This record gives sequence, structure tokens and C-alpha cells, in this order.
Amino acid sequence: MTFLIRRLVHAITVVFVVCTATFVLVHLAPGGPAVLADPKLSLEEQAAIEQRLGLDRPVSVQYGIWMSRVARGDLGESFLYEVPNRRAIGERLPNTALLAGTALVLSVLLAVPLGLWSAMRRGGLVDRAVSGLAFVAMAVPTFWLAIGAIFTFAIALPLFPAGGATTAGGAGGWMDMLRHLVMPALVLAAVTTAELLRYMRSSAQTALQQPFVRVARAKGLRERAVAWRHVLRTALIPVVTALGIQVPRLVGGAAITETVFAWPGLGRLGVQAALGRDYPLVMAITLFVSAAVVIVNLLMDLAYVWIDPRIRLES
Amino acid sequence: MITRDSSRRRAAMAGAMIAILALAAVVGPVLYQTDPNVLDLSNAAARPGTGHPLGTDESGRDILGRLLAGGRVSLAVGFAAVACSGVLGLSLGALAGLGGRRLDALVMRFTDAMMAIPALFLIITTLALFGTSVAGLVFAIGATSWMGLARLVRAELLSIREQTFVEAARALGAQPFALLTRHAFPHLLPSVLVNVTFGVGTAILMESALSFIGLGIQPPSASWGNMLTNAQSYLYSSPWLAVYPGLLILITVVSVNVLGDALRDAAEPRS
Amino acid sequence: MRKFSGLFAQVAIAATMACAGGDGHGPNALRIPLINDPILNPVLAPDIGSVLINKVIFSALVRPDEQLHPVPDLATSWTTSEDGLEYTFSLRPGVKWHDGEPFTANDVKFTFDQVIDVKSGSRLRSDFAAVAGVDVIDSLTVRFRLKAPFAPFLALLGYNAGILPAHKFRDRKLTDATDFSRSAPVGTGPFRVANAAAGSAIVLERNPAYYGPTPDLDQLIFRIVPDVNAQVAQLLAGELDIVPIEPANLPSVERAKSVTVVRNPIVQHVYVGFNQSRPFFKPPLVRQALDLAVNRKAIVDGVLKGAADLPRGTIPMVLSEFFDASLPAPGYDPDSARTLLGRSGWSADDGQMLHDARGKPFAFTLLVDKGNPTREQAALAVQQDLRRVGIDASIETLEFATLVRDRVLPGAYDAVLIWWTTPPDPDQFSFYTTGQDNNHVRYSNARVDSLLAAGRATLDVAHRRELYNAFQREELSDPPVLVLFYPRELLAVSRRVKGLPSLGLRDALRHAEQISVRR
Repeated sequence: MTFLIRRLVHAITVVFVVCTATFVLVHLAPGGPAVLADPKLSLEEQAAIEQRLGLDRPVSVQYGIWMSRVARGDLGESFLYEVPNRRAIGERLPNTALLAGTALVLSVLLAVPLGLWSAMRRGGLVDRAVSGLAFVAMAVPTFWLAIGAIFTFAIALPLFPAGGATTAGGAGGWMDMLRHLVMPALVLAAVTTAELLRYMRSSAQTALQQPFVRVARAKGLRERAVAWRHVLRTALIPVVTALGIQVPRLVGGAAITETVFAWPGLGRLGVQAALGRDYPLVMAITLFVSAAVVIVNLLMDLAYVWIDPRIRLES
Repeated sequence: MITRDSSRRRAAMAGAMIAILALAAVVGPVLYQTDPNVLDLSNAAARPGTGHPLGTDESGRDILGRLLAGGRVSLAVGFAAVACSGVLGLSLGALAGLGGRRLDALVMRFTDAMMAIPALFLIITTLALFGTSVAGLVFAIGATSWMGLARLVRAELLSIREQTFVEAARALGAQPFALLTRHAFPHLLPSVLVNVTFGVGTAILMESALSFIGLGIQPPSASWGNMLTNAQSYLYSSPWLAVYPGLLILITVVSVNVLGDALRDAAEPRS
Repeated sequence: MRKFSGLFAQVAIAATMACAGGDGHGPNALRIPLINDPILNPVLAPDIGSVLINKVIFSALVRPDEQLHPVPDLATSWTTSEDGLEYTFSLRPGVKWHDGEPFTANDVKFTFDQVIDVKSGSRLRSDFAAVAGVDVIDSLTVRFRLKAPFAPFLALLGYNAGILPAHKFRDRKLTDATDFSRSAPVGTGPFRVANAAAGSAIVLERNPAYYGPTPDLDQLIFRIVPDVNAQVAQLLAGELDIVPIEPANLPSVERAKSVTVVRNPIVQHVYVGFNQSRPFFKPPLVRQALDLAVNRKAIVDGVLKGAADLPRGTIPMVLSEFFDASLPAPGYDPDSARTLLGRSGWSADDGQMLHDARGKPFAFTLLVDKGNPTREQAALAVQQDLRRVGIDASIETLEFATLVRDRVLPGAYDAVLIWWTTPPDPDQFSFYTTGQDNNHVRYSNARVDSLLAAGRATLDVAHRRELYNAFQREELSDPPVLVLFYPRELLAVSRRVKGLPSLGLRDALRHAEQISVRR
């Protein structure tokens, strides 16, 4: 229980630091939000816009307003879209969750068995082919892969739609969404799969070399099954760690995949907000994503404890 | 079978590849005199021909020249960013590992916070707000990738501190700091080296992603990242414009990763 | 067993239909991309994407025909007072808002009260600065009172000034009406919003109660696709119908059999503005020299692939009524440029770079906005041309927001490559008259001042033409900016689209009810 409380306090502190850090970053920057960048604006109009957006107040006051808003759960209002940020985020979140979630699930489904196989038959054809592919997947810029995929599978061979989450104006339905999900999820999963694969392979290797495995093999079938379960558990621990690192990566990588595939997600919103200097939205998204990551890590820690009770004592 | 020999061999091959690329990047622009910045709009996207061994790009500039100049920039950014993150990671990790409990907690919270924010996001925000210059780019990439190293360094230092020989030495009156430096850092070197090697690949990929968003190396300077980005519009008409820089990025990052992998295998003794 | 196999068959059919091809042939819909979520309020809309979609949802008092003249839309006729200070509009009877409420003069008054109010968030205020007030005469008659005679008034009414429904804003500010601006706007246009999915698409459906001819299309869909190359990809895959493209995309698009490219002239001039508060650029002779030093034809052919017209002054050629085509286009003559520069005190040594009597080199920084390959290439071409006459220009790319706010508006720059998009009217008073807010190049020419002031206030077309022709001639000897070209808007259009007017997209969409698609 104390473990849980300690981790919770830790998580809250981290979120607080993120909150402040984003504010500092955003307000240190020179220049101003894109809404003010209209060559036709007169000075009077500029001043009116600044006043309406609260930009004319001193920085410390703005910080105070920001922190008190966050405490209440109000994430401010976007300059560019004139909507409460919570709404802007809420509208996009399910889409990114779907995309990143699918990519994560796909990569686990691919990486775990392939990694295990590679570890069991080291140096074999599958091992070498899979390793080679993994290296290549980790070295290709995401946007290149994405645009290449669209060119190949949507234009040259009209198998999948070239973008969007649904067929606009169409009847919708989950089959339609699935068709639109395939390519972006695979592209996003490429790097994650490759990395998880290497983790899985090396940790499965280590697990397989433990003495009890050899003994179990020698002893026969039943013991083998028991050994298997233990091997998997041991092998999965580093993979779970790796997963924790992948989540922020996925959200970041999603930004580019979402842009190319015109997927209406949070990552893309964040990039556009940053480029348009939409301060409130930038701060809101950064905070939201970081909080999500912290929560996910917290859950991962709990998963650790469930997998291996020894860890709880060690911390 | 993965033996020490085969891992050494792979490391050697990868290392050689990187050395060749680095050499080409440094020496190439000196030996190959064609100016990579001269526009020739009437000769855009031309096939290989006289004066242009690899053809011209979308503005009529010589591709080979731009690949060499761009290589210089991309590799430089990769190495510099990694150096930056290395320095940050080592210092902060050392602070956490060697300092007291309070300092450790402080640094670690900060590290955790930084790790929670997706790196691309943080970089984009930093660059979009502060503007892009080569120095800014290097710092932005470096300042968002030191966290893994810091944790590593801290963990190693903490574990070494506990070991008995350190306590013994302290009992004998030796300066703890000097002791740690002499014993700890050599111990750290392999992991740091591995981490740094992988970091170069990540930095190069990051630069190309940033070019796609418009925040990478700014034109008219060439970098593999912005060459690849510019080529996207011509994918259906002149696809080879994208192949050259893409292939170079691929080869570089794969070599770097193979090298890092091999270093890691070599560093960890196998039972 | 039979029930089971029937179910199986149904699922199989559905699955096959779902897998069968893209959205290629099929829907009676027109699909256009936007870069970002729009703000569905013409008074607040800050970006071109929002402007485009608002032109379909909201009608205005007038709209431009194919010659860019204002013709009746919500107003059926109008009269102007003798002194040009009052415009009285008779409004079309029987028009209904998308929610069924009747359209009246109150809506017009409400809209323009908001437009001229500096606190409302209005983006149209500078367009209508000349409006003193709006009065409702009766439910179908409205009168505008102007502060001074203002010739561009009608053109501006048909430009971005869509009319808003007063009854939707009874107790709240424009900027607070989030639902209206995001997903449920109410207008009088030929299409109304059926549904809006954030970040994804805004689907418009036919307005059966539209006062004009019933639109042929069932739907007009605006899809949010932030990346231009992704837009082209979707066009080639048959998922979009009209995509504005850059010259860089031409080679890819021209090869596709399902797509045709349309090049319409638009009311825009792209130029290099030289900051005349810097002593380099003050003498008109220097600016004439610069005019001669740049090879515009090479830029138009090489960078724009021919999708532009060579300029003769700052008034775009498409405003043919006011454009004197008999004036010569500026030639490319670097030798004469050098001579003129020599006369202004700039000489070259063997290094071929110019310097003045005190040895100071002719060097400056040219700013250009980031991310647009066409303008970046044009800037590079300009840089190269200037280098040939001995001028050392270095290029700095900045994000557009920073460029405008931090450098252009406060006048903190040497030279900038930028453009003005204007309504279909030759008025350029605020750009090139001494001391005006938008005159960021700090140009000052007394004769031009009087010509532009008179041009703005004169309602008689023939007289206006003379004034603007005189302005055009004056620009030859004292160029306010270095006009590079009049761009043409490049639209990649699917061959199944029919009835698209030959106008820029923003004006074409004001005739959305005429567009149809071949099924």
C-alpha cells in the first residue's frame, strides 16, 4: 500500500513539474501566436485581440491563472480554434487512442512470438530475416514509409484508402474505419515492433539459458510446460519496461503518421498548435499527454508487482 | 550462433561503413567542386548527365553535391546532438548518483517529467517557439534525449557506491570522489558508448522528421532530411529524388544500430 | 442451417462491398480538402480554409460573377446617394435561414454592427473601416452610411462578408458561440452543415429551401487533410475532387488521366518589398535598377512552370477594367541595372560586388516565409539574379507568423518576399499611401498618394480607370515594390467535376449550386 501511495505522489509531482515546464517554455519564446500574424491588422485590432486572449497581462499572473485552471480541470481555450481545449482534446483523443492502441497491440502480437522464435532458433533463417527487417524498420523515417505506403497500396494498387479515418459523407461503420486504420496502424507499429522484437529476443535468450530450463527439458513434458510459463514471465519483464518507453514515442510518432494519413488525432493537433503558436492548446496537450504517460507508467509498475513480487521489496 | 568473433566482425563492418560515410561527408565537398546551391530552374529533375553524375533536384541543383553537403550537415547534427545529450546525461546522472538523497530525488523527478513528454512534441514546441538554427536544432535534439543515459549512469553509480571495496577504501581514508571517478567511469564507459551510438541514429531520424514538419535544417542549406522532404512532392513523377537521401539515411542508421548492437554484445559477457 | 448461411452471405456481401475499391466513382458529392478545422463564422474566420467553407454556407449581399463584377445575391437591387455616402439595399424576399427562420434586414444590421466593432473579434474590420453605421429601413430594406465615398464598397460586400443570423446570437458574443462556429452554423447558402467531425471532415448537404436554383450535388464535403502531398495522394486515389496545388506538384498530377489542371488568374500580386526607411532603397533609381535586375520570365517558367502572368505594376492583370495592358512589361536588363546603380553611387571593384563611395557593400537580408517551396525557390532565384549585378542578398526563412508580427509589421526588415491578396477591386490605398498601416515598405510618393486617394473615392468607373492607369504609369519610374508576378491559382480537378466557374476557388465556391459531378 505504501508503495502505491509513494508512486502516486511521485506521479503527481511529475505532472506538476510538466505543467510548470511547459508554461515556462511557451512563455519564454519570442514572437506571438499566429492569430496575430495578419499583415492587414491595424495596431488597434492587434491590441483588441491581445486583450481578449489575456496576453496583455504580466507573465506571473498568467502562470497563476494557468495553474488554478489546471487544478480545476479547465485546460484553457485555444487561440486558433476558439474552443475550450478540453473539448478539442476530447474530440481527438479516441482517434489517437485507437491508432496508437492498435499499433501497440499489433507490435506486441508480432514481436513476442517472433522474438521468442528467434531466440529459440538463433542464427536460423527466421532469426536472420527478422533481425534484418527490424534493423531496416528502425532506420526508415516514418513520413517516408507513410507516403510510400500510400503510393503503393492506395494509388498504384487501390487496396486501401489514401487517408482519413472514415469515408467522408459515407455511411460509416466499423468496417469502413477498419479499412482506414490498417495502413496508419502498420506504419506506426513498424518501429515499435522492431524495438520490442529485439528486447524480446535478448530477454527470451537469457531466460532460455537458465539452468532450470535445461533440467525441465531433460525431465519431460509436464515440467516443460511449467518452465515455459516461467520463461515467458521472465522474458516479458524487460518487454513491459520497453512498452512503457514506447508509449510517449507512439504519441510522438503518431503526430507524423496522423499528418500524412490525415488521421484526426491528438498528435497532429499538437504539431499544428505548436506551429501556430497556440499557447493554451500546446500547454493543454503537452500536459494531457504527459499525464497520460505517467498514468500508464503507474499501471506498468503495478503490472510489474503482479508479475514479480520480488520487485516490490527491492524498491 | 552469436559469438564474440561474429559480433566483432559485424562491429567492424558497421564501423567501416560509418567511417566511409563520414569521410565522404568531410572530404567530399572539398574534392567535388560542383556548387550544391546553384539553381538551374530550366534543368530541374534531370537525369544523370554531364556535370551532374546523379542528376539534378527539383530546383536544378546538383544532387551529388547536395548529398555530400547534406551528409556533412546531417552527420554533424547527429554527432553534435549526441555529444550534447551525452554531456547532459552524464552530468545529471552523476549528480543523482553521487549527490545526496535530496538531490537524487530532485533530479529524478525532473528526468521522469522530461521522459513523460513525448520527445517529438517537446522538440517541435521548442523549435517552433525559439526558431531553427543549426545550434538550436542540435540543442533541442540533445536536450530531449539525455534521459535514458542519465538513468543508466545513476543506476551504475548507485550500485557501485554500495560495493564493499568502496566502503573499505573510504575507511582507509581515500577520497570518495576520486575513487568513484577512477573506478566508476571505466565501468560506465561501455554502456555510455552503446547509448551514444544508438543516439546518433535517433538524432539523424529526428532531423528528417523535423524537416518534414518544416523545422529541420532550413533551405537553401542541404541536409538529407530536407532533401527527402522536398522530394515527396515529386514522388509520382521523379521518385529517384527521394531514393538517394532516403537510402543514405537508411544505410547510416542501420550501420549505427548494427555497431551499437555489436558493442552491446561485446560489452556484456555471455555465459 | 439456412438462417445461418443467409447471415453468412449478408456478412460476406457487406464485407466485399466494403473492400471493393475506394470512393472513386459513386457519391453525388464534391470533396475538397482543408488544412485545418475551420471556424464557421465569416466575421471571425481568420484563415483561407475557413473562408472557403463559409462561402458555401453563408450568402452575402452580392457576389462576384465571372468578370468579378458584383451581382445580386441576398440583395436584389441597390441605390447609391449622390455624394456616395449612402447605399440602400433592397433585400430578397422569402429567404429562409437553414433553421427555417426568415431572413430580414435585422440580420444585415446585426452582422455589420459586429463587423465594425473592434471588440467582437471581427477580422473584417479593416475592410469596412469606412462604414459609419447600418440602419434598418424596413424588414427588407437596409441602408449603409459611409464616412467618406468608398468605391470598393460593393466589391468588399461580395468578398468575405457573409451574413450572420441575428437570432442565434441574441444573448451571447460571437466568440462564445462555440457550437455555431464549430459544428452547427446557420446560414442562407445553397448547402447547410449535416455533420462536423472534428479534425476529420465537415459534411454539407443540399439546402432544399435555397432561394436560388436547387443545387445538383447531394453533398459538399470538406475533408481535413493537413499535408499537401497527402491531399494530392487522395486526389489521385479518387478520394478528393478539387485540390489547390503548388507548381511543384504539377509533374505528378499531369500524368494522371483522371485529373485535369486548371489555371485561373486571381487577384494577387507577389512581390519583393524593399523597406524604404533603409537608405539603400530610398532612391527611386535604385528601385528601378532592382526592377531590371530580376529575370521574372525565368522565375515564372522555372519556378511556377508557367502558372503566372508577368506583371506591369501592382494592380493584378485580372482586373482588366482597370489594368493598362499597353504598358510595357518590365524587361530583364542587368547591364542597365548596373548603370542605374552606378548613377546612384554604387560601383564595383574586380570582385564584382557593389559598394558605395565609403566602401560599404550593397548587402541586405531577404526574408521569405517558411514552408512554401515556390516562394523559397523564387527567393533563391532573386538572390542569384541580384548577385549577378553585384548585390549581396542573403536569405532568411521565417515562419509566417513570426515574419509578419515581428519583422514586417514593425518595419524591422530590409526586404521581404510576400504577397497581397485583394478583393476584386483596384484599390491599394492602404498598401502604398504614405503613412498607412499596411504600407509596411514605407513608400512615399505624393502623386501616388493623391491618385490612390482619388481612386478610392471616385465612383465613376471611367474616371477611376484613368486614375489607376496613371498610378500604373507612375509605378514605372518609382516602383513601390518589385512585383514578381501575378500568380495563377493552380487547381487539380477530377474529371468528373462539371460546372466549375473559371474563377479562383474562393469565388467559384460562391456559385456552388452550379457545380455537379458525373456519376
